Amino acid sequence: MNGRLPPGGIEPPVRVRITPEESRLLAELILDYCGVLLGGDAGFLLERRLASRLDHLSLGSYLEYYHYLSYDLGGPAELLECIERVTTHETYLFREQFQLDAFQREILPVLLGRRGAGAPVVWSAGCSTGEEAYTIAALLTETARPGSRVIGSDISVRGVRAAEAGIYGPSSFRTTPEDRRERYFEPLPGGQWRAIEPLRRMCTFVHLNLLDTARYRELGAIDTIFCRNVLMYLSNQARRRVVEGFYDALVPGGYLLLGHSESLISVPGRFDLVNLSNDLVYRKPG
Amino acid sequence: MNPLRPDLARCLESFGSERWRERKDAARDLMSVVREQPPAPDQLALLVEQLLDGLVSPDSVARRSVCHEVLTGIGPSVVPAIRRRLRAGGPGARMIVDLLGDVGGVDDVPLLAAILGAPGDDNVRASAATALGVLGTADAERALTNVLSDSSEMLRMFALDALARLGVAIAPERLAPLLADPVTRRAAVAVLGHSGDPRVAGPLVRYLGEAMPGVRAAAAVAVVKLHATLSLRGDPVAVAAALAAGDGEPLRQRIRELVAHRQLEVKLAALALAGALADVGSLSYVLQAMSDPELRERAVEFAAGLGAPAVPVLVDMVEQAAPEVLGDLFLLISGLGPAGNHPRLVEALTTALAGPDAHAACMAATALGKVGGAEAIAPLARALALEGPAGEAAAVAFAAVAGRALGSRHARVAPHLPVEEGASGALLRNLCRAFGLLGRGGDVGFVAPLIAWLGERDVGVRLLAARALGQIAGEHEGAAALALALHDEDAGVRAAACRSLGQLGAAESVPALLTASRDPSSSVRAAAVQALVGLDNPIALARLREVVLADNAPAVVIQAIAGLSRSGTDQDLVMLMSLCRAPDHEIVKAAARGLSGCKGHRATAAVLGLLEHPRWDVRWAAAEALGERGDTTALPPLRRVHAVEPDPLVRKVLAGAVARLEAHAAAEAAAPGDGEGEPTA
Repeated sequence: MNGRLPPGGIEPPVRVRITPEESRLLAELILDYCGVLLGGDAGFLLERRLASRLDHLSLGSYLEYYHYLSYDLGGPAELLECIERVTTHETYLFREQFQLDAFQREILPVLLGRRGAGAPVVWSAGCSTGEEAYTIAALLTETARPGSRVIGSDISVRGVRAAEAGIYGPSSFRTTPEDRRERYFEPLPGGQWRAIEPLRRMCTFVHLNLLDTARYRELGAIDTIFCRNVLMYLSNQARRRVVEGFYDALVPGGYLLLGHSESLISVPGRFDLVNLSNDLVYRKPG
Repeated sequence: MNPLRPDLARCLESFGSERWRERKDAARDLMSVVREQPPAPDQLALLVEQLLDGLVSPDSVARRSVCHEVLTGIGPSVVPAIRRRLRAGGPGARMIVDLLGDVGGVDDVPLLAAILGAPGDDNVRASAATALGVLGTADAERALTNVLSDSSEMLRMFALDALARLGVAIAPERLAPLLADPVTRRAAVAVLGHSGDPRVAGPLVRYLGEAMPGVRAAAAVAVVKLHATLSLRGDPVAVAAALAAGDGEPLRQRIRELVAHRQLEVKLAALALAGALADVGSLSYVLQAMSDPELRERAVEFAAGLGAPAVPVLVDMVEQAAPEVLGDLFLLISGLGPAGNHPRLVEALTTALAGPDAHAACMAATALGKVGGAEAIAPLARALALEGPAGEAAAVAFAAVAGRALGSRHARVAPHLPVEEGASGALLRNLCRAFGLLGRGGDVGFVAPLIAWLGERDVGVRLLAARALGQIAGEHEGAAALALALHDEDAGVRAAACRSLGQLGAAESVPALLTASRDPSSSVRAAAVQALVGLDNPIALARLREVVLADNAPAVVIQAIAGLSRSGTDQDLVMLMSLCRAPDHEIVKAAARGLSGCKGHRATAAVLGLLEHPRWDVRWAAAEALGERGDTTALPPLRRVHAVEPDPLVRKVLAGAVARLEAHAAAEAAAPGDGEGEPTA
């Protein structure tokens, strides 16, 4: 029998240190699965984000965790959990207003003005907990015709579930004008807000790994893709693949909007660069 | 010579198109043709020559760019043609050198070094410097160092950047003129950081206050690098002394500004420097920078380093914080540990724990677990009923706070808990979590409720109860209950029970674990075998061999291999050697590691063979195993492999193995008569 009696009170579980080999194996696994490229600080990040998973699974080392991910029947589900913890979920409603303005004032009129144009379909790729999708839905409500749809997708199952619920706390409204919050969200007890039913009806959320480009066609033809602050976390190879997939998913003349610090410079692509009054966006020729 | 295949030629025709999209399409089409219908060698050679012609064509920048992209895509097979062009001379040398830097290898270092060293176009030489900085090797370093006194300041700057990239140590005296020149100062400061010379600490700290922002950023990284090098050499004070000497508000402000730098490396360096100065004034800058997830955990360590002096600053920040930064702010507070137990901070955390923002509640629970005293027990106990991460964090925090304030005794903790009877869902799961952690103190009072919860309908509760029982040290009836849990209908519960039995070291559970090693679920079998290996009971050895031979799940076999390596029998040695040829690389690695403890040159030979394995991690494991074995006959092949190993990290491990064996050889030589050539185990 083992007897471990610490002298004083207890502290949270002792952290298992990650070795450089384990860190690289896990980083490669994550890269293979979803294209997310962890930087030079991968070991530190993985150790901090995954320590509780080792504890949860009663595993003694990160190599055992890697084996669990690679071989165990529970590995695929655990890999999703691992990705949840390693990837970023930080977002809020009405983020980067200048780009939203460009979408509402310059892109939507073009989409709606096309001959035979129907109600637009917008894809929020990497939607996290859905704030961006509901933001777009609100803009479509103000500008577009009935029947407009927003598809939100994310690699995080938990994120997609939260998006479907559409319930947000104060931090999600940090840049939302009060009148828009009042118009599109209903207050709940405890200081939270839920997207109103018509907005929720406009939005569909799916769990999707962006590297799984074959599944893009399930979304149907897309008029505009918002993929903001996602590509920056991907390897060049993954970025190239995703951008190619976006190209195929868009209708001719469809738009791709990236985060303000992102560009397709390092991605050989077929998009045209369109200079709007306050933003640069990409457009599929046609 | 045959003309170029029409499909290839058609693509090349569009490379000069004025339309960007057409050029891109043509490049993509050409790459797909090369990939899907590989041209014959003569056709590939012709294609490469035409692409090289396009690369150096003076009339079209666009064509040059597309040709570079495609040549890089084709990869190393274009290198011989590049070398021929460079030797023959001709137009466009800079483009060709750039290309060589992208697709070349260490064999190209002499050619690039010659270009760098010869008088000629400075642009071409600068490209050679950059390429050498990518390819590395001692010859590259020598060639780059030689041009530091070249008359071209551009070349000097490129050479410095390449040397910094390679981490080469250059004597400070050699760098002095380059530091004096504003053009080369930034790059020279970066190289100075690699000098490993304590004398440069003061000058580097002064560069933190330099007017040029690029120099300041380079200085921050350089100071931190220098400190790391000196600390490894046993001098952890030189940099600290230089910082203390230069300390003052101007220096601190410069460092705070760098915390918000766009490059992560600079941000992290600035954080380390702010920590070294114990600068509580930088906390608000750090909080803003925490929106970068890669900085978040480092920020917590930073706060931990500040300790109690940070409390008044954080109290002010809590008063003024916007809702969206509360989570990050609480995370910072958690870094303080018990030093953060200030009534105002605890009050803010307790309020957020009960508030609507789930993220803030989770962070508040985490922070309360670190800073809270007895006053935090009741709010944390209430939060045990929360679903999701906030409830889980509350369980860990409750255990920590209760352990500190009450002692890890069930009788003392129980009165503070929500009623256990009739509890369900999140509350019960979080109680399991908390009991497992508290049970590490060894109080078997936590065992009885956990045993009862092994019978709950909720699988999550049963699983967490099984896991928690393994955490409770000492001899208790939980072992028998866990043996029964090996028959649970859920595989996760059975696997958790196996692991817990292994953790408890319960020898009487060997028969039950042997049965579990035949479970239909590979996860359960792996956990059972791991527990058996941990128990190190000779009865299990035959079963472990059986697992290695017959189990089709690699995770199970890997666990069993660890057990075989301890037996010391020839039968197991042969089995481990044969596993070095297994198709699964993780099995091969496990076998290599298993062989590190086996006697005999045969084992060395088997592991040496793995140094040629295509996977970096197998070569890594083999190098480690060889270093551990101490068989000095492995030295010559290890040195050979070290010289050509392409992976930098594996090369480091190989260097470590060589060093270990050299030390071993020296020890053998110093003790004549003892060296029988038999490797140690």
